[in-house]
Amino acid sequence: MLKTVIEIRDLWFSFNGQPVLSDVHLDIHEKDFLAIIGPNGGGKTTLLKLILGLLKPHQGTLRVFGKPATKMAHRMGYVPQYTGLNTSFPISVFDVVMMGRRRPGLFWTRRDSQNKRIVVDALTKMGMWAHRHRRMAELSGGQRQRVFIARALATEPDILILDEPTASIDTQGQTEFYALLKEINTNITIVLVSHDLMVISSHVEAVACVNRTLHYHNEAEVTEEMIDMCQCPVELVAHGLPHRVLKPH
Amino acid sequence: MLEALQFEFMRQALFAGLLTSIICGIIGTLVVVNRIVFLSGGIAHAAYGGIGLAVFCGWPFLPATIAFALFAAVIMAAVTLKVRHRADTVIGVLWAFGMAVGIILLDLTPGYNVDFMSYLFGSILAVPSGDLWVMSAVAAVIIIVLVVRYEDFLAMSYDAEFARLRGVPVTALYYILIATVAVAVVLIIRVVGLILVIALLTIPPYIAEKYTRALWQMMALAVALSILFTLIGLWLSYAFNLTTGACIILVAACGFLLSQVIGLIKNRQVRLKNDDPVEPKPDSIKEPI
Repeated sequence: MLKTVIEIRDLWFSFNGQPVLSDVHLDIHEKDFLAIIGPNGGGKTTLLKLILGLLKPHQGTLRVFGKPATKMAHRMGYVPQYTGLNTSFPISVFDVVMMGRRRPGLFWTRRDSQNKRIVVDALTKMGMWAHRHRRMAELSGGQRQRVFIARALATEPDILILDEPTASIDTQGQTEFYALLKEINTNITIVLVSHDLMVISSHVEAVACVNRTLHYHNEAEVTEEMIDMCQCPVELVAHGLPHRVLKPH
Repeated sequence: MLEALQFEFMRQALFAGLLTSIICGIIGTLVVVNRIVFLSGGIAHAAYGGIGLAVFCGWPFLPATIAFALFAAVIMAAVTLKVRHRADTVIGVLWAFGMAVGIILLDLTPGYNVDFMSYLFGSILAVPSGDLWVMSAVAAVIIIVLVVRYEDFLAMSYDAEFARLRGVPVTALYYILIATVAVAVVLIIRVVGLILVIALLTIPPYIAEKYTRALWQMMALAVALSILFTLIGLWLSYAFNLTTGACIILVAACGFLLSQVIGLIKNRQVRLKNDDPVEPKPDSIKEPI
């Protein structure tokens, strides 16, 4: 029986008086590959930020590895949704990924062989090693996204949390990306938000639909109940090639 | 020009300019990349209230003004963190309030106030040597703090959210940054004047940004540019008997325009060279090493 890495109970969260998440329960186990889907504004990114400890729930508990989520950020790698922030900032690709090696409590991250090896590894996995000395300002949106994914990988996380990681990547890139995630998934739990309901890889093992409340489904398919709740039609990509698979209805 | 160096006041002015450039280059870089230019402007103008207070109560200039500026700065910092969407309105209010308080207090002070104009426009040629010591100390502290906590400031400036996840004390650092801006701004007011503080804080880093690929490089280049503008500005003011602060800023503004024009020309050259208008195919994820 795999242990529970993330445990969410009775979670409520509101923003400016408006409820964003109501009565959410969720268990995520070690080495799960969970996709969180749902309509815009439904609370997916908020849920991620609560898991990361960037936000505090108003009610309920959120435990990561048994401890409160706000204390466990160092065991999670995070890929944010937006790549377009601070694009003219003077920084190289290598230095961005190196930020993932920063440990709390140390003033300087030593550029020793171990840290360098991890950064090289992460950059190579994401196909950005050749660009390591380029300024972030010179990259395309898709390239920047890959750098941020490399940065999350460089943190050597136990849980990888990705918010729309393939938003700027083309279909070919997406297929390869999901294959890479599957490889990573052998050791790391993955929680992935996809606002594009259209694409859920067969590699994904479970799906949660968030629209103020959460509906969990233990298979990589979406039931009619979820379709109703999400209020939009869903297509599923069942294999690496685009196949359209809809349940009979 | 060289014969001017035999004058004590000229050497002091050069030294003041050098210290100002170091402080402005470093702090200005952080102001520009953290996008707190308006906030810094707010602090500078609110600090004028401190100047008025110092003159009216007969308190020593630097401690009184710095204290007032810190007070205004902390309020503004708190507002930008807690009520982000209306932060610039509150900054605008404090900006005006501080300025008005300062002016009224100066009005109420009996006697002829030479200080009024010199604080608005600066008087690099009349910086007391006591001030120079303070500026040197502040510059030294800023450099030390930045060297020690460079990575933290870099992380906070680039991606505060991710920095928070990696244990960087983002909120504390933000307050420290704002406090440092307050102190720096008060010191610089004496040199180039309130009206021009923001220009000196922002123009050199803004030029430096696109030529550098690391934050410390941007700081270094901003310092170098600032020194260059100060030297040329000092020479112009000496040669043509003009207000020094304004000369420095005019040179800086010309530098800014020049760098924009160079940038436009380079862009045009790149576009003309590129015959292929189609976007290059994005790299496949797996690349051979």
